[in-house]
Amino acid sequence: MSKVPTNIGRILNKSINALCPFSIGKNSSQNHCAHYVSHIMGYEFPGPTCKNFTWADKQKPAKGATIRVDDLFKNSTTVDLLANKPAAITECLVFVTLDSNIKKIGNKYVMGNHPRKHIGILSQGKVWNYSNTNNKVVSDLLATFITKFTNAYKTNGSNVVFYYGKFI
Amino acid sequence: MRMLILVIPLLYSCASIAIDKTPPNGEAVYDILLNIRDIRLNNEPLCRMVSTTRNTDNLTFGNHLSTILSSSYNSSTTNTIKSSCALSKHEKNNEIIDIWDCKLEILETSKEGEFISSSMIAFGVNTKSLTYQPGTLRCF
Repeated sequence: MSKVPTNIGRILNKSINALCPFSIGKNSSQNHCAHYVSHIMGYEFPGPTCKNFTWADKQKPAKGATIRVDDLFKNSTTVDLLANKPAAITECLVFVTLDSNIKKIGNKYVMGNHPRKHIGILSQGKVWNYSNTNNKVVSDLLATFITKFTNAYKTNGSNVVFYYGKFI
Repeated sequence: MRMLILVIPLLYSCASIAIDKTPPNGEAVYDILLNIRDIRLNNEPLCRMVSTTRNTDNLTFGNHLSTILSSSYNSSTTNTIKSSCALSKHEKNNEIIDIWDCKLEILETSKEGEFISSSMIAFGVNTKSLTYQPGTLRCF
C-alpha cells in the first residue's frame, strides 16, 4: 500500500503557506523542499521544525514539520545512490546534493551541512518537489529533475549526486 | 494626595519591568553572533549538524557559519544576506523571559536570479544583558 497521500496533487502550483500555518511558511526566501515533503508525509523529527522555530509558533496547536533535508536523509530507513534503486521501488524520497556533502560511515551514508541540497517525493512516475525560485509545488519527470538540479548545483571540482531513500 | 501615593509606586514598578522596545543595533547583533563561534553544535538540539568536509565530530557554530557563507565562493552565484531582530520570548528554567529573536538569512542565487540555496541562523539575545541567550540557537 502506498505511503504517499492519494491527494498529493491537491497543492500542485501552490505556495508552501497552503500547507503550513507557521511563520516559516510565509518566508519565501528559504528552501522549503524538506518542509514541503514533511508536511505531505507527516514527518516531524527531533531538530528544527516549522513549529519550534519561534516562540509564537510553538504556542499554536497545529502539528509541525521537519524543515532540513539532512534530517530527512538521516531518518530515512534505507538510503543509497539513485542509480542503485531497485526497479520494484516506484515510490520513495529523492535527494540531491554535492558529492562532497555526502560521506559513508560504515554502511551508512551521512549528509553534511552544505546548503546545496534538495529533496522530492517520487510517486506516479514524477518527482513532486518545491520550486523555491517560483515558490510553488511542482512535479517533474525524474529525468527532468536530474537535469534541472545537475545544472543548478554543479560547481568546479564537485559533482552533483542523487540518492533515494525509503519512506520513514 | 492619597491617590498620588498609591499611583506613584505603581508607575515606578511598571517602569522598572518595562523593556526597551528598540532592537539592538546591527553591529551589536553581529558582535554577539561572532562571539558564539566556539559553541559546540552537539549541544544545540536545533542546530546539530554534520560536516562531511571537516575532520571533526564536534562541529562549532563558527565552522557551520563558514560553510554557509562560503556557498558562493569562487562561483558565479551571489549570496545575499538579510538580518533582523524582533521581540520574542524564551522559556528558561520554567520561567518565560523576553529576548530579541535575531536571524541571519543567506540566499544564494544564480546570475539569472534563480534560487540555488538558502540558510538561516536564528538566535536569542537577552534583552537585559544584550548577550546571547543560551539554548536559543536554531539552524535551517
